[in-house]
Formats: sequence, structure tokens, C-alpha cells
Amino acid sequence: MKFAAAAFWWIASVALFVGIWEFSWYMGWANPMLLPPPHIFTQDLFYVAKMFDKSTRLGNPTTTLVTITVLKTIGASTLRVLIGLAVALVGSLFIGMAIRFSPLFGRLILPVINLLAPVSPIAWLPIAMLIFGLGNAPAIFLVYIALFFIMTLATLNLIDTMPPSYIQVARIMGASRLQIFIQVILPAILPGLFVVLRLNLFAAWMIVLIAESVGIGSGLGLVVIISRNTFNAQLAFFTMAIIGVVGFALDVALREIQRRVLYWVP
Amino acid sequence: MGSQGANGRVVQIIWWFVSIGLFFGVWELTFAMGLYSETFLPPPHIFLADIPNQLPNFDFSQANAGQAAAASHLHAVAETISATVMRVVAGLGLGFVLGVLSGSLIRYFRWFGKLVLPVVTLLAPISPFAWLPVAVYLFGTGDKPAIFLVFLAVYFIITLATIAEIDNVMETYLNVARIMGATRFQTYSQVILPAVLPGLFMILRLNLFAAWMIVLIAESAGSDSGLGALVMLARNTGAANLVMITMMVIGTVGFVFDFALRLVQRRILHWVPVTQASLQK
Repeated sequence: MKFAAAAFWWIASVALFVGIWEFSWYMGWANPMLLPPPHIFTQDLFYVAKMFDKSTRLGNPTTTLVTITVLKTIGASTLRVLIGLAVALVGSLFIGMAIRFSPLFGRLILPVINLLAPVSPIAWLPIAMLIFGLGNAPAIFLVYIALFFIMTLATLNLIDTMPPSYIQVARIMGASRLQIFIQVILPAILPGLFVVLRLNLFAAWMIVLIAESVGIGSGLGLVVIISRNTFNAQLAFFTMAIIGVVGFALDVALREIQRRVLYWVP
Repeated sequence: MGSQGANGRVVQIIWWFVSIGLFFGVWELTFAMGLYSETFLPPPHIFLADIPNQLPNFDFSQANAGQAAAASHLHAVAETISATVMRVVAGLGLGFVLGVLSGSLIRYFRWFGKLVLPVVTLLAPISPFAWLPVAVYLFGTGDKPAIFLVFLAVYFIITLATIAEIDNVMETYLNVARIMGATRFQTYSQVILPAVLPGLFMILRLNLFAAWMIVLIAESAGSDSGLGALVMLARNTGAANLVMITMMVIGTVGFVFDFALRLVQRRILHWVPVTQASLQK
């Protein structure tokens, strides 16, 4: 019953939104070339999907081929985000713990991290391309940059704010410094760090799209910029829908991973 | 960590210089050893010396107008920076105010909430970058598309966060307000709003990073001014010195911005104790 009511309100809400959109098109307020209402931009999905890749844009490709290229495009973007996230998580965890483990290392490295942290990943974009050229590497590098500094600082913050009793108990039980870091501090900060990772998924997802739009040569970001440059509104809205779905799926997936991997958290 | 007070301060400053010095030292050394050319990764002494030659690039009004006095170049730098900062501030302000308003209305009027919330949760996961074509279709070029994109980057997050925060307001606060005979409106404006604002401000600060990113990309794709346009100019012309200088400027502005927001947070939210959990330390 509760589910039915929720479903009803969901449909009512979305219908109202779409209704207003269609109505303003009907009244001539929304230019169908720029803001095509849903019934127009979903009209010819095949034509829109053809635009996703160079190989299918001209001629008469088969439906399967077009579907595969669309899925490939989505997969390429998603994979870049996931690899970047994983590398950044491991890297920042390692560096953050090393900074607290070895005070000398911390004193040498922390000011540099603080210096580089406020530089927007966009400003790193030309460097990423100069160093890594085109392809997957610059996109993954940018995701890494977008997350690494924030998460290293978050790791330090989490270590500093963790309950001192954990460490005291470990010390009473005769744990060595290394043991304390690996067996007490690491499991204690991982859940918090994962939350930070999830909060920054938004930024990571954005930088991948941006990197793709300026020179990776493939991915959803490139499709967005093609739709803007060719004023292809149908393509723009279709891509928005896909990006929304993938973004949502990534968030759900990360939440699921968080629950599975961090099983010791209530 | 370490002793506090004047002595600790001095030690800290010394370590800061050692650390930064080491960073730049390694950079200069690897360059001197010829590991890479200056067209790839120019070391500080090269790109810093090149600043006077690169300043004209900040001037977008007359990109090829030839030589001009240094004073007007500095003026152009200030104009470029303030154009970007203005867009971020306008977008953040609009997004925050309207987000808090929408979130509150969704919880205040139950029918409104039921009708609007599904659309908000539907649109929220769409990356602001995917809105870029729409922003250009709707607003053309100039300030507006950039402000719109910053607005989007903040609005949905703040709306959803407002709802979450309202749902998490301590039960006691609401009970006390009710016992004291507060109306529904009074409860919202005088109890719930002050209770949720600090948390929302934290979330705004966390998303400053994303807002700052989208404005740069909006500028490079939708308007021909601001720091974002400069980044793309540097990328398209492969001017490594300009890339480094732009990074320096963007880093400094980003740092000042975060600092300013923290100050605003402390001033405006005077009822919150200063020692709040913070990512930046």
C-alpha cells in the first residue's frame, strides 16, 4: 500500500514536470530546436544513438552495431571514473597514513599537498594532456587529481579525530606502531574515507566528462560537446538521460560496495 | 603534534620552507638533468620569469591588439579573475538560497513535496556538465550560462541535503517549540532553519570544489572571458608557461575562496561553536 502510494506520487510528479514542458512547447514558448519536449527527443532514438561514435555516424549501421557503440561509450567513461577512484583511494590512504606514521615524511610532504590542493583539476587538464597525450591515461590522472588531495587531507583529519581509546587499548595490548596503523587505524578510518569518496564522486564524474570533451577522443563527455557544437538538442537530452542514469548507478554501486566491504561498521 | 606557542610556530614555518623548497628543488633538479624539456613541464624559474610576457594573454577584449602598458595588463588580470569569481559567487548564492528554500517548502507543504521531490531526485544525479548544451541553448553566451551551471551544481545537492537535515533535527527541539506554543511557521523559521543551516553551509563548502570546476569549463565552452577561457587558450596553444601561471592563479583564488567561505561561515553562523569538523585544516 505504501509502495503503491509512493509509486503514484512519483508518476504524478514526473508527469507534471513533463506536462509543463510539453505544454510550454505546445504554446510555442519552448523552441523545439533548443528545448525539444520528451515526445520529440525520444522520437528517433536510433538517429540519436548513431551520433555517439564516428564509426556509426554515416551510412546505415545496424541496430546491434549502434547499441554496441553506445554501450562502449558508456563503458569507457564509467571505467575511467572507477579506475581513477580506486587509484586515488589507495594512493591517498597510503600517503595520508605515511604522513602520520613518519613525522619527518609528514613535515616534508604535507605543505606541498596543502599548496596543490586548491588548484582546480581543470587547471591540471593541459598538464595531463602534455604528459599523457590522448587516451585513457589523462582522464584517469585527472580523476586521481580531483580526489587525491581532498582524500589525503580527509585521511589526516580522520586519523586525528579518531577515539584515542582505540590506540591506547592497542598499545596496552603491546601492539607495535606498524600494527596499530594497519590493524587499528586503517579499519577505523576506512568507513569515513569511503563516505568522503562517495561525496566526491560527483566531482570525479564531472572531470571525466570534461576531460573527454577536450581531447580524449571518446566517451560521454565527447558526445555532450558534439551535441553542443552541432546544436543537436535531441542528442543533448538523450546524453543527459544516460549520464543521469550512470551517475545514479555509480552512487548506488558505491553504497553497495561500502556495505559489503565495510562489514564491521554497524 | 609538537609543541605549540611561538617556538612551535617558528619550527612549523621552517618545515614549511624546507618542504616547499624540496618540492621545487626536485623539480628544478630533474629539469637541469634534462629529464624533460621546458615545453612539457617548465620549472618555476622559467615560467615565473615569463610572467611579464604572458600577461597580455589575460586580456580577452583585445587579444591581438599588440603592446600595451603593464598597468593595463594587471587591470586585465584583475578583470579576468573577478569575472570568474563573480560567476561562482552568483551561482553559489542562488543555488544555496533557492536550494534551502525548495528543501524547506518540500517539507513544509506535504503536497508540494510529494509532487516536486521525485523530479528533484530524478534530475539530481545528472552531472552539471551534461547540462552545458542546455545552458548554452537557454542563455547563449556570456555570464548567464556559467552562473546557471554553478547554480545547478549546488541547487540539487543543497535541496536534498536540506531535506535530510530537516529530517534529522533533534526531536527535543521540535517538542520544546511545540510545548511553548510555536506555530508551524515559527517552528520552521526560528527552530529548524537555524538548526539546519550550519550543516548545509558545510555541504556548500564541500561542493565549492565542484562549483569552481564547472565555472571554469563553462567559461571555456560558453564564454570568452574568465580563467576557464585562459586554461583552454593555454591548452590549445600548448603554451606550457601560461599553463603553469594559470594554475598558480587558480590555486591562489581557490584557496582565498575557501578561506573566505570559512570566515563567512563563522561570522554568519555565530551560534555554532567554531570547532566544527572540517576537511581542510
